[in-house]
Amino acid sequence: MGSIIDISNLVKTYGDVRAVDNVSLAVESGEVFGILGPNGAGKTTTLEMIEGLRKPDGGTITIDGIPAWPNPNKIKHLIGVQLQATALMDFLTVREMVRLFASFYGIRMGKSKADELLNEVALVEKAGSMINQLSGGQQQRLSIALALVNDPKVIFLDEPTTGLDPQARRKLWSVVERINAEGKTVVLTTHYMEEAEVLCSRVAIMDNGRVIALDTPEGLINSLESDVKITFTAKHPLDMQKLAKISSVSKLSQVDSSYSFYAGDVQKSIMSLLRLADSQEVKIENLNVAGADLEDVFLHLTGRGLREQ
Amino acid sequence: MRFAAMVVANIKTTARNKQALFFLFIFPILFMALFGLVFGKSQDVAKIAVVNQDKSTLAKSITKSLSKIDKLQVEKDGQGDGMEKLKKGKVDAVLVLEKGFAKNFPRHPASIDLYYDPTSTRSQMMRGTIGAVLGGIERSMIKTPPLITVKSKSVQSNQLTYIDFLLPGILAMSLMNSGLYGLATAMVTRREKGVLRRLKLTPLPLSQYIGAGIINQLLVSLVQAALLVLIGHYIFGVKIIGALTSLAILVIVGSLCFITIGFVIASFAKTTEAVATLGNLIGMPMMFLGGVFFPVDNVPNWVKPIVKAMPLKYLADSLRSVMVQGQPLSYVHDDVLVLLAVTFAAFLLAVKFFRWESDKR
Ligand SMILES: Nc1ncnc2c1ncn2[C@@H]1O[C@H](COP(=O)(O)OP(=O)(O)OP(=O)(O)O)[C@@H](O)[C@H]1O
Ligand SMILES: [Mg+2]
Repeated sequence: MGSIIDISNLVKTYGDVRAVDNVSLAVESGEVFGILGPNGAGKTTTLEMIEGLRKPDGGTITIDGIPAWPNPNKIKHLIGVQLQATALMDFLTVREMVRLFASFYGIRMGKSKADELLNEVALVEKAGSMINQLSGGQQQRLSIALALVNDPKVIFLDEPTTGLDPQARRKLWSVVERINAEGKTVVLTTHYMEEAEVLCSRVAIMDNGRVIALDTPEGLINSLESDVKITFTAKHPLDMQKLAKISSVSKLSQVDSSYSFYAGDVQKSIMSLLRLADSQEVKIENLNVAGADLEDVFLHLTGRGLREQ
Repeated sequence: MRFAAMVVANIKTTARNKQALFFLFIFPILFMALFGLVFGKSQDVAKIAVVNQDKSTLAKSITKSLSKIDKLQVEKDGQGDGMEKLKKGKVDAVLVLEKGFAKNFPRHPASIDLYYDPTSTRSQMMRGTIGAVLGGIERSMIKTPPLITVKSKSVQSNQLTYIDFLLPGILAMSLMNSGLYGLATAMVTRREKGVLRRLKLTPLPLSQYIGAGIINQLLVSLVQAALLVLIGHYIFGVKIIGALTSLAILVIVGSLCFITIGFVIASFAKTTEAVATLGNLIGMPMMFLGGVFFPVDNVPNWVKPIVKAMPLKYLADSLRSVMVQGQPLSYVHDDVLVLLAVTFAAFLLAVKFFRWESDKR
């Protein structure tokens, strides 16, 4: 499958800030493409330039072969957008809002058709409710429904799950999966590595306006070749000096009865640990091996965490 | 079709916002009520309580003649609390027709008791009025022609009271206020919340979005105008002798003018607070010098050019001419032209400075 969005050398500056600094990307048709990055990385700025809302200072963007600039009107029918800050008109019902937006695209959407669309985003039971009475998660799903009214090829979701509780987040994930299953390309931004791992076929990691890595989630994690973290507890003290001699083991630590260390070779280090415990007649409990995730990838690439504490 | 849908959506959001709607309509009505009570017709009405214990035709014809008098309200007093009311000032006089008061009339004179309050001027005037009425009845019964007739003629074909002057002014002022603030507040609120940004992503053209907003606001103004005219006419007795179609045309032209000025305000104001400030800056001087509450023909010379630059004055003047003086539209075509010119200029300004977003991105 070919690419549906092509971006090259995209630049946007605000005063001294290079919000987007020479970004080049290609989004494949039919994939869920994620942009992961901390606050201020330039995710929203990038997305909104593609959508035609912010004018790039340099670079080119095409969607399905059509340039997004200088005339964004030409791509409006191709895309559906959920903005980071969702705001809708008060005093209209959910169904009225969907039908109003459909009319903007020249689509006469009947009541049943609107409800069908709302069903797709799991909001049909709220069809008759006023927009201002929706919860955060419901509002997000309504804006996704609005992004779908014109049956677009690509939909953009800017932090669709920020501020939602885990249950609402999972509900939204299944909505995104359903949309993608229909063959629509999805581009989304997120702070949550878990979300990117679950939803995205490929992930671009952005920091300071630049794409610093781009691969499948597995590819990114594997590229780390990082150590796994091994933790366990023991009721009697364990002398770990011998463990430290194994080449791939590092960062040994002990707090009361809790022990942890990092190891490159999982098999070898665990075997040694068990043998050591046996010889000292210490019983090991709660043994746990944790792999790296995108959070670690980000930490590794930038030396910083993904979210501000 | 999307234009119609947008108009309908706007009307729904306006009609469902009960709180905003309440204030939209209550203010002009309050104004009208306040000024109407202070200066209105009800002040000129005198009240008389009639205690009628007799069943003769004379008693009937007396009550009938009294009730025919303009600006005299006749209360039939069955309970006999007329005297109480007189003491409290709730009626200005009490007329008592005792049973058999006109036995053998006209051979024997009839005796009628009129109670009044000597401390009240209106009550005293009532003595004269009632006396004259009874005298008239007497003459007509004994068939003597009146020796002198007095026909009162007003210098104006229809006498204008202050409330007649006031209603068109209040109407013009309400149209100005809802025009200046209504559209601008809605637009800036939507811009601040980012609704306009979201709309910008759809193919709805800017002109249609704005057009729908203007139509919605125009409907609000028309309803407001209708309410005011109805209340003014039926409650405060304002005589509306002009053609209703001419009145409607003026209301539309005037509203459009102020709505487009409001639209200019929306283009410049970043926040709703700024809308209020700018609106006051433009609206307040017009409220006082635009000829709403008092005529501004005799203002000092240096104020005259300021007054001449106020669109509200043209609207108030033309509404007054048409509504209460019954002039045709052709009589006010200068005013209409000024209003249209202002509308056109404001429209150009507003479109030039329109912003979808609060900040440049
Ligand atoms: N309208 C603007 N004016 C000035 N600076 C801006 C503007 N919009 C964004 N920036 C700056 O550009 C940089 C990128 O911002 P952007 O909103 O794209 O980040 P983001 O990755 O979407 O962040 P977040 O995760 O917080 O949404 C930031 O430093 C921000 O301060
Ligand atoms: Mg963002």
